[in-house]
Amino acid sequence: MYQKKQLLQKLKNQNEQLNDYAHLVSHDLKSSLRSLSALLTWVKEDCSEKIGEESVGNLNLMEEKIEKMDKFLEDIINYSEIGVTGLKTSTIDLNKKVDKILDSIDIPKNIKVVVKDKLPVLKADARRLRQVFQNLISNAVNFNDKEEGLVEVAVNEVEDFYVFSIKDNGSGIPLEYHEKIFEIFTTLGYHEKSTGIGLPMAKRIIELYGGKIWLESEVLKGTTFYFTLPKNKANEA
Amino acid sequence: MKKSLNILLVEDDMIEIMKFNRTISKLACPHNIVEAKNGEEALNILYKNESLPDIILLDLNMPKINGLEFLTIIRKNNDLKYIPTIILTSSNDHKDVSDCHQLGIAGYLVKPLKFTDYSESIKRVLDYWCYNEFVTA
Repeated sequence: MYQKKQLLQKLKNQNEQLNDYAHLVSHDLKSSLRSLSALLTWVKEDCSEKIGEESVGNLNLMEEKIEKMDKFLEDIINYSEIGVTGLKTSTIDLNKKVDKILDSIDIPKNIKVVVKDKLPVLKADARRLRQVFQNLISNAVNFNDKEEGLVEVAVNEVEDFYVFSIKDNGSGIPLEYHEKIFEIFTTLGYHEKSTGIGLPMAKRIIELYGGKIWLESEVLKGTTFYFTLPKNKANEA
Repeated sequence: MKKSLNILLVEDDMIEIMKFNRTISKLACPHNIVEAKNGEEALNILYKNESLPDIILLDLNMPKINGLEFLTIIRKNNDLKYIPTIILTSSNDHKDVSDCHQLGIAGYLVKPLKFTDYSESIKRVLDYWCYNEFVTA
């Protein structure tokens, strides 16, 4: 019993150390990216005429890469924190939460996002829950290839679970990728904002609450992501 | 009335200092900047100088005495604890944010990635403080 306790404490310390380490590294890398980005801007400001159009184009490409790296670091740090830092619990009105998320993501004019059902009020970690909805909704929006894109958010109650669904009419996901996309760093599209961490992050959070995530998809026609959150567990956690 | 500020910039990164100075140089209001490369240097400046800065802009991650340690020290010092201190960092870590607010800060700015965004936020922050009255020694 005593040994088990010691082992747990040791693991906990190691986890904390790893988390600190990830923070430190990502902080240093992010600082360097900020410097690079500023220097690039200045070169463009000060000598765009001297270096010519093509070189300015290359500098712009460098800037895009820097932006992507920054997003990547942000995602990695968020992902690595899940399960290491404790969950905070607060009461969340998902209707308001989802509205807020929709305000915060760039939705092109040709894509409509509809919340079909009245969503429940849950007790959970607000930040983590936002990450789940945000990642799934922004995937549905970003990868939509239709002229009139439609994304629908809905919920069903099945016994002790809420089953949420996020349905899109995008390009669909071939069956062989249905499991692979939940692995870290796997991306199917070449969207500038995708880092391959969104879905693994959603999965990790949902599983932390004892839920499941899966998808149904028809190639060219669209995809529906489903995930469950237990009513009771979400209340207690 | 709008006035120019005496600012103590505590920052160890050379390019960050360049970013700040480049931003300031394009402002209409001529601010007076004193630079310190870490918390220790900043404390020496504060202890020595009779005229204290109006505001302090403080990075968190620095060698020797880091931002949080520096903040802890000046909040306990009767002469220095009034100086409004604005955090300027690339860390949006929840613990850092809450630690700083607990110690008492006048703002927490996460450095944006793009220089133009950075410049804009600095301008706005300084513009706000230009209209403030400060405790004078």
